[in-house]
Amino acid sequence: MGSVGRTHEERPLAEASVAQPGLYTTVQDEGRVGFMRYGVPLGGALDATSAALANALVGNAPDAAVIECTAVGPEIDFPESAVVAVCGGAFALFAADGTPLPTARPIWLCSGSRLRIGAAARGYRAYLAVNGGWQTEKILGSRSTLARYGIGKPLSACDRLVYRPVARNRPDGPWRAVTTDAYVAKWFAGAWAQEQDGDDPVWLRAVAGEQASAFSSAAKETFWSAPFRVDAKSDRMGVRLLGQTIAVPAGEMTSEPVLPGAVQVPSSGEPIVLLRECQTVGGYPKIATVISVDLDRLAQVRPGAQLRFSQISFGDAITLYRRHRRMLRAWLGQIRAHAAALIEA
Amino acid sequence: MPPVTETWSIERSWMGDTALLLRLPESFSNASIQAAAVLLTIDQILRKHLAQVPGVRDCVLAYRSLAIYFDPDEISPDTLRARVDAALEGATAASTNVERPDAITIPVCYGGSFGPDLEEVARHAKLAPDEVVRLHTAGSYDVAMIGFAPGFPYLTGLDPRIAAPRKPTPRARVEAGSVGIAGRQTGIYSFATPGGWQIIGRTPVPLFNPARWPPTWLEPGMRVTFRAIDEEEYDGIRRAYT
Repeated sequence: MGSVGRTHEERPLAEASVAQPGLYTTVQDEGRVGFMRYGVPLGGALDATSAALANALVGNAPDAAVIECTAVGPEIDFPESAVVAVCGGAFALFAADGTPLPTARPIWLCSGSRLRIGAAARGYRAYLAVNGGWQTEKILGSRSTLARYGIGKPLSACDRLVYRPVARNRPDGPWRAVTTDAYVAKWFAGAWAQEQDGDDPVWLRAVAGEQASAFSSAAKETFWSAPFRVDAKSDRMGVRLLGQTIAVPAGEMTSEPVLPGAVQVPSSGEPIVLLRECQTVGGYPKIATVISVDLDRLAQVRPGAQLRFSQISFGDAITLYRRHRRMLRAWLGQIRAHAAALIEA
Repeated sequence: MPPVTETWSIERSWMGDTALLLRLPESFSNASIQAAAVLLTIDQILRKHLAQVPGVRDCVLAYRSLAIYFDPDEISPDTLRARVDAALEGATAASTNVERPDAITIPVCYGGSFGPDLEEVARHAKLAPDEVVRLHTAGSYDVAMIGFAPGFPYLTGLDPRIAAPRKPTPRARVEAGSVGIAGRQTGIYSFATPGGWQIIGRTPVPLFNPARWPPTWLEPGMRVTFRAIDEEEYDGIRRAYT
């Protein structure tokens, strides 16, 4: 899965090694679909669109495993040649000798290259894809790290990551030599990268939550009109919000299924917006649910950033979802074909 | 016989843009066994009818509700709703006689360091700790839902005499296997996590193993009983699993 080369599966494997792990770096894919009924979070890349674009740039299908970087990325050594790409927030990217490399483009690394993903100037997460995908063990049908429940761990120094090297050491085609060991394609997945550039505040579109009618009109007025600030205590489970408190409806509610995007209001009154690694059931009232299309943008908000919500209808959310998927399919198809042609040329 | 949707006036609503939520009305009292049986029936019917429907991703059961997760790009909300209605149309109250496996017996070492709150639960119940254990092991329970953490079962059927409120301050760490009481629910921590339930004992059997199919020991709809074991037996069972 996830590769374009016919002879791909026959290539010998190589082990990249982690020189520096970065702030919080994990292997992710599209998550564990179908296990929520066992209490297993969906998980997977939080900014799924950026992960899919990174994969397409190196010729992979969207379900190949990528490395998710948070705020500051890792330094990784590639003993054999590899085609890689980094997509997502505006992270600094360097070759071994310090030469800056571009994000959102395929990069051909020669044997013995080191790639350093630095800090994010904008955004919060980025995805490092390698041609063929990172070959970690699949557990419950997925390579996604679920550290909280003992499925994988965040990367640490000296960890080894298996990949399939590309057949040749360097391209002869129209690549731009950046250093002696890295070649960069001239084209890139720019549209999405530019769309992701930081707005302040970040606006998230949301539909009414399951308990919306139980909240007072004053509480709803505050929620939909006031800015929130992202708490540093946020993690892959949820983005915690500060700055406003929302009055919680009286009485305990019965636990219900929840999903990524749900805006829970615990008794503190400070909302938590659930991300893809959230639990499967919850007992806090939900005032809103961020639409699926905006979960990628939510994954890019940094601690301290300002957030605001605007309400849309269910029908509009569905229209936006389909439009996004249609556009993404077209992008991914074109990018992947282009990447495949370069790599196989 | 009327269809279940009518008999139990099931509400349907959209949850975000990727799930359909089916809810039983409030008249189903919280944590009632009857509600669990109804939802289990719906779950089985939907799993049978929706298994091959493209775009249907998962189905999650809770006490009084059930969510069907879908990809709106592969199946339109209208189509999904029609398929769900059609599946439930043919179901009647008689369908609740679903086939259920034999009850699973869970060995538990009660009290001591494994059950630090047994005495508190006993004081609250105005019973001796041994009597709390006797009532807990005498009961027959239903797995109403799995959640909070992978494989964590929420069990209904607790004897009301040993119901106890959550701890005012949650513990920073509750060990995996801990058997707890929260109100009229009892449950088992599948992972070491923070938690506020009153812990009365611990089972040596792991509740979640991602290398197995299914990955959880318990599933919604299963019946469960508890059996008291001593520390020696606890250690023996524990060794067998490691």
